[in-house]
Amino acid sequence: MSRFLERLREVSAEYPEKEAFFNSRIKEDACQRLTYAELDAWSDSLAASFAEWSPKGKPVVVYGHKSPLMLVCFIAAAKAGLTYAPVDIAYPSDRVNDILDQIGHPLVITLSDDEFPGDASLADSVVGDAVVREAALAGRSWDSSRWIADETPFYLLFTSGSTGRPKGVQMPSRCVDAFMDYFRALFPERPDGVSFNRVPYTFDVSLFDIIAGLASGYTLFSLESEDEQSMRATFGALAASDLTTWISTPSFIEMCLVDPSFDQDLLPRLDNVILCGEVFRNATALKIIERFPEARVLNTYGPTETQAVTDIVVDESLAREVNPLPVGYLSDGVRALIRDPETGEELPCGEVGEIYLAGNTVSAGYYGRPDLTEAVFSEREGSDGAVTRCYKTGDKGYLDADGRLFCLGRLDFQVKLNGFRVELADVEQALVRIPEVAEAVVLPADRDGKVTHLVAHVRLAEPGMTADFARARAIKAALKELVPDYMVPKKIVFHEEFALNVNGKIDRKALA
Amino acid sequence: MAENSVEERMLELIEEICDDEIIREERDADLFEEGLLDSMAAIELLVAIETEFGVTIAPTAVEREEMNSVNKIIYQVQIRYDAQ
Repeated sequence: MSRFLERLREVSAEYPEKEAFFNSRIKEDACQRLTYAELDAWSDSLAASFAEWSPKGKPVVVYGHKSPLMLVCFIAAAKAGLTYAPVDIAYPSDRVNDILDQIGHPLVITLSDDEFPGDASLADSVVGDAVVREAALAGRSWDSSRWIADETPFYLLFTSGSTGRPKGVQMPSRCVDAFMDYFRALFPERPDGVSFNRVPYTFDVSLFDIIAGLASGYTLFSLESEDEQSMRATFGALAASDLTTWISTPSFIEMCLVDPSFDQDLLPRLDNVILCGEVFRNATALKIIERFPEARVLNTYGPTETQAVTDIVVDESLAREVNPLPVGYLSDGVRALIRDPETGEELPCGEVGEIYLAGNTVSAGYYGRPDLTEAVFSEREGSDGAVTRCYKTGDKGYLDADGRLFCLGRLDFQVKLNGFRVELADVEQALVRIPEVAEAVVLPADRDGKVTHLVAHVRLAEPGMTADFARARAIKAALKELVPDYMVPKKIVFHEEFALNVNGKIDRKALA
Repeated sequence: MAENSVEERMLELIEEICDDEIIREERDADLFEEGLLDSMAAIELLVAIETEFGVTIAPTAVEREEMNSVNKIIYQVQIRYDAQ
C-alpha cells in the first residue's frame, strides 16, 4: 500500500483544519483553499467515483492549472488505484490529443477556466469542474485496500520527445514512497510551513511539495495564471503567502531578484530555498544569500525519469569557491555512474562522461513505448545481488572525490529553456508539419552559458514564397497550435537551401 | 550625446534581446504576442536598460501593457532618462 497515502492520512488526522493548499485567487474567492481534512475526505469520495468513471487500469488525465481540485483529483486517482496524468493549460489541442491517443480513450477530468481543448471522441468520457466538485462533496467512503501500491505508476508525466511526440514517464508508487523518504528531510520541521507550488503539474519539480511537502504537513501555495503574467501581481501574492520554503527553477528566482524589493522584507518567514531544473549560477546563489540571509539555499538535480536525486547546501563559501556549482550529493537510494559516451566504459572519479543513475526512484519507463524505454533504461545488479533500475540521462558530468555530482550540460539535442525541457527535434518535427515549411533546423541561442531562446532555420516549401516578417509570424502562429508557447522559437531565419555535411545531413554547425 | 541617442541605443538593445531586426519596423507590434519577448527576456531587457542608461525600472514598477511594444519601451526609458 502507498506509504505516501498512509502518511497523508496521518497528517490529515493530526492537523485536520490546517490548509493543505491555497492559490493566489484566495483574495477574491475563499473556495481556492483546501484543508487537510477536506483533501482526505474529498479524495476518498472522488476515488469512489473515479473507480466507476474510469476504464479499468487506464491513467486518468487531469487537465487544468492550479485549482485546488487538481490536487484532490491526483490523490483521488491514487486512492482508486489509478495513475494520474496531468496536462497543463499551456498544452495546445494537438498535444492534448496526442496524449489522449497514446493512452487510448482515458477518463478526462477538466478543471480549467476555459473549455477543454482536446477532442472528446479520443476520451472515454470528459468530466467537468461542477460534476467533480459534486462527487468530491458526496461524502462517499472508500476503502484503503484499493489504494495504489508497488509497481503501479502513481503518476504519468508527458515530456518533450525527440520523435515529435511527447513521451510519458511512468513513476511507480514504490518510487514515490522512496522519494518521500529522501526529500522530506529537505523540508525543515515547522508547524507553519508553507511551500511554493509554482511550477506546472506537468513538471516533476511540482512533486517536491506534493509528495515531500504534504508528507511534512506543509501548506502548498501556488499562483493562478493571471498572477503569473504580472510581476506586480506575483509579488503581491507572494507578500500575502507566508511562504517558508521557496521552490523554483533558477530562471524564475533570477527574474524575481531583478526587483530590489525581492528580499527578506517581502518574505520574512522564508527559511528554505530549493532550486532545480537547470544550471544554478554562482552569481545567482550569492544574490539569494545576500537578500535572504536567514534562508538555507539548496541546489538539487534529477531528470523526470528519476525524480530529484541530489542535493547540496549552497552557502557563501561554496558559491565563491566552486564554479560551476555541484548539483549535490546523491540520495541514499541512488548511485551515479559516469561512463564514457563512446565506449560505455565506467570512468573514475574526476573524469567527465555521461551520467547514469541507478536506484530506487528510477522510473519504470515510457508509457506504451518499450522501444524508447529499452534505449535508456536497464537493470543493474549491485554487489549485494539486488537488482536496481538504471537510467542513461544524456547529461554530461562527473563525480568529485567527495561524492559530489557536477552536471555540465547535454550530450544530445535536448535543451533547458527557462527550466522547460525541450527536445529540439520535437520543435523541428512540429515545424515541418506546417505546409509552408519544407525543412527546419532549430538551434538554441545562449548568453552567458544559458539558453535564452530558440532560433528556427527554415526552408520554405516553394522557392517563390515570400520570406518576411508576415511569413515568420504565420509560421509561429501555426506552431502555437502544435506545441506549447515556450517551445515556439523567437526567431525564424529563412534559407533557400541548407549546407550539407559529409553525411548528407543538414550541417547544424554551419548554422550556429 | 546626440538628441535621439536614447532611441537609437534602445533600438539596438531591443534588437539584441529580441534577436530580430524586424523590431525596427514593427514598432507598435505587441512583442509578447509576436513571440519576440517573453517574461524572462523582458526582465533581461530591464537589466540591460539599467546597465546602458543607469535608468532603473523595477519589474514590479511597470505592468506588461505599459512596455509591450518598441515605442512603449522607448517611452518608458525616455521619461526616466529625461528626469535624471
